[in-house]
Amino acid sequence: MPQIKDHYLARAMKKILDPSRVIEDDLERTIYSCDSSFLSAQSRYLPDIVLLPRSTREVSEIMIFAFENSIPVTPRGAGSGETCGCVPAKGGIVMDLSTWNTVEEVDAQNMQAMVRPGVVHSRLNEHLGRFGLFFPPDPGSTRMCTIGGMVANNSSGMRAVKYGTTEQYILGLEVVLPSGEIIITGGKNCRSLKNVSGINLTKLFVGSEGTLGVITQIRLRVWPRPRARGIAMASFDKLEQAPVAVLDVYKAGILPSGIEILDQSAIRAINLYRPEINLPSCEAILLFEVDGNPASVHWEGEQIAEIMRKQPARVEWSTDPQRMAALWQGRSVVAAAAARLRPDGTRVFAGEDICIPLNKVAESLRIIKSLGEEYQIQVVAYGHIGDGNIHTALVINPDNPDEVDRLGKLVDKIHRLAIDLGGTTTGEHGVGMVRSAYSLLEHGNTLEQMRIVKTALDPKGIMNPGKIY
Amino acid sequence: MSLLEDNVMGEYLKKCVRCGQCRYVCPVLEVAGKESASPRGKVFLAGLLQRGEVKPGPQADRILSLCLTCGACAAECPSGLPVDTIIKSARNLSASVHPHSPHRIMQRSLFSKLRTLEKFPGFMPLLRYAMAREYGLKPGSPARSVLPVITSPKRRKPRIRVGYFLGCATNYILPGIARSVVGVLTHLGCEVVIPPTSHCCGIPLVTAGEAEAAARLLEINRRSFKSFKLDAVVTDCSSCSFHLTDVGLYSVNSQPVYEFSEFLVSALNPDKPHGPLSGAAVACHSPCHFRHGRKLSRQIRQIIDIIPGIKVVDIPGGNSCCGGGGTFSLTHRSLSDDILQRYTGRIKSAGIQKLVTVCPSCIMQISRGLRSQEIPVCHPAEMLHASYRLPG
Repeated sequence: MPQIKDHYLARAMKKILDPSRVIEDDLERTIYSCDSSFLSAQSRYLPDIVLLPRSTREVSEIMIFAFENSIPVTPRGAGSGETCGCVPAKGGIVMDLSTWNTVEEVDAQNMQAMVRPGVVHSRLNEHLGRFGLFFPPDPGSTRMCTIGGMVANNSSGMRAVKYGTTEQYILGLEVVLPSGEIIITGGKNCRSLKNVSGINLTKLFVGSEGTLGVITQIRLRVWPRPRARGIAMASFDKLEQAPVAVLDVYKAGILPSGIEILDQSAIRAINLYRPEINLPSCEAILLFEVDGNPASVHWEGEQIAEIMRKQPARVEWSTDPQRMAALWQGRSVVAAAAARLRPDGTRVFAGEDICIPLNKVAESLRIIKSLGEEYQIQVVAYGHIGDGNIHTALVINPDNPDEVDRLGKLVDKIHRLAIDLGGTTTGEHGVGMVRSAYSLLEHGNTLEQMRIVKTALDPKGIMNPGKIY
Repeated sequence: MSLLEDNVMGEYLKKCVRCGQCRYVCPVLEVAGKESASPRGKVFLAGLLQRGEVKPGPQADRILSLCLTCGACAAECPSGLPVDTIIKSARNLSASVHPHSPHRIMQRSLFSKLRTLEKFPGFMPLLRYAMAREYGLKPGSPARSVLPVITSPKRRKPRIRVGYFLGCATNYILPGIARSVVGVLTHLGCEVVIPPTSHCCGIPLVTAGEAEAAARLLEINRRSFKSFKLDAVVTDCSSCSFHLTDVGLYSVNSQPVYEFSEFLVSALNPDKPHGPLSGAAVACHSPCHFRHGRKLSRQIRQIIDIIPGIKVVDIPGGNSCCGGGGTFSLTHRSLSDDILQRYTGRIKSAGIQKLVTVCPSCIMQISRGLRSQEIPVCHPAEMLHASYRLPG
């Protein structure tokens, strides 16, 4: 798609950026052709050039040049996404923002922080911890994903049950538009926590997957760090008991900070990865995390334990920081650890992020299990059952074309099942390239309105083309 | 882990889901900032090489060289991949295609022929000049030339016979460590044997992807140690310990090749030294091959804790890679310096007056970073030697 010669592009970019932050080398560019998605493992989407900007001015100058020359631009964080979202579908420029990782300001008095897009989620929370604060959304990829990527994909994770998704914590954004113009959403000098003045463009950019502009600074709402935490682990002999138990906890008036489910295979994968975690062998485990002040945590923990025992389920209640960290870490890495279940196979990220209405979760788990048997593909189910967001890890041998073919069919069935049950193909990972085929099915004629908005901001279609719409 | 056969590597590569968790712990990525410097990027490249999608050559070598082989990524990988070994094996893939490039010949010759080179009249003066210029060190005679093959305890019958694997850096550059190791071990009742024909452990060659040359050294070392009846083999260097345990040197009852502090804690239960040292604030640096390779943790601290008069303090933010990585500090000086400065910055900020570690390469590298602050870096054997008030 670039209308200009590569060497001209490189020369122009080196006038904007220090040459050490301009990557032209063939192999290095090839390395930028992937994220975690299975699609990017199978196909190569090479950028023509990779740039590592570290200021808004640099990003703006790059965009002005790209706009004038109709060069596609794909922003990228840590590349931990699962949708080919940061992969340059049409070549052009990849803007690696992961090295632009400064926390510009923690405004503790106003409960907010200003950060650059490359800040890694767990490092942000380490930093905020010094102020007794935290940024609540808690993705499983906390140790690698960047805040910029979280905003672009409206990520959430394990504590969305109580704290919601990233969008609820974005007070404002600095965005470089495809034309190179710099805008600030949420009020240009605003430090208030609420603002209903004007159309909420912040929400427009959150979750837009880099298709509307480049996010260069984020004004985040931060919260006081809870004083206490506890985890109740309930193990069930029957998988179907688990979703019922979740609803019973809600009915009892308790809102845990996280409710996670692990099926039998996920339990086995975690035990293979970290044997010392020693999860009990059963059909399903629910992890309930409660946080708040010590008295409420203790009370809620007891209530949950009582509800679980009635199911019946075996319950382990822990407030020991080491045990809690081990359980939470086990859950957070199961995504990749699922590969341990099959010596000749790997876990692939495809069809992995459906979100189902709460009253249909049990049904969806049962159907997905039988679909796995029908297509002879191992399905590891885990995820944020508290908000119906089920991750299905599919374990295959990617060298076997027949398995890859069956995988494609199974993924399609899973996505369509989610829509049929009144859910969505993606609860928190995004659409990217891998789910864009379902956009019309999910949104109907609203998709056309999305395209109109996209065209208004990006008339030349240079921002992350080939995604979502 | 030994370098991987092509088919084994293929199976491992298949398992990488490119989740990027290795990015979080990679010291090179932290300073280089680009995806090709990340473990994930290099594993991706290894896959391209292994499947023949790209050809080995200088471009691939350059990217694969951006790794300290510290092993932090392998310890972190949820899929359980030996990431550092995959990178070393990819280097081997490249080495086997271009075995005669000048830098490869130089690297092979240097580490394979060190024992021959030491006899060359100009070798030690050249080394002394280089070390004085680089690290402010003035190595004396090589340890081998001043230490006997067998040293027995003076006043009692030996309780255990120990083979001492004397690594290159200790022998040529920091011979004082070797004198302290022998002194402390004999003080604690060991008879210490330094096989005269032992050689470099081979880790620099394995790291460079020179599998065949490393295998030849291993055979020499196996023969050297087999000619003595030994109860255990000990080394003062955690990298030698990691590599030789991994590939299996001569060992008794499948024991590891013990790292010095590990051996003291697990086998000797040393008595409390009587001579207090000055009340300096001492911090322990756990080298990467100690933590991630051998999976050891508190042994250095346990040794330092028994020395009277020492105040042990933590390094703010914990242990990190020093950026040495054997020859990495020479081939990638700027990156190595950046990694070093970030680490020494934390050490300086904590008012630490002395650093103790069990890797001669780390000692040299961190000394370079702390030279201007006059914070000495030493081996626990040297501290014990002083505290036991041993001669020499």
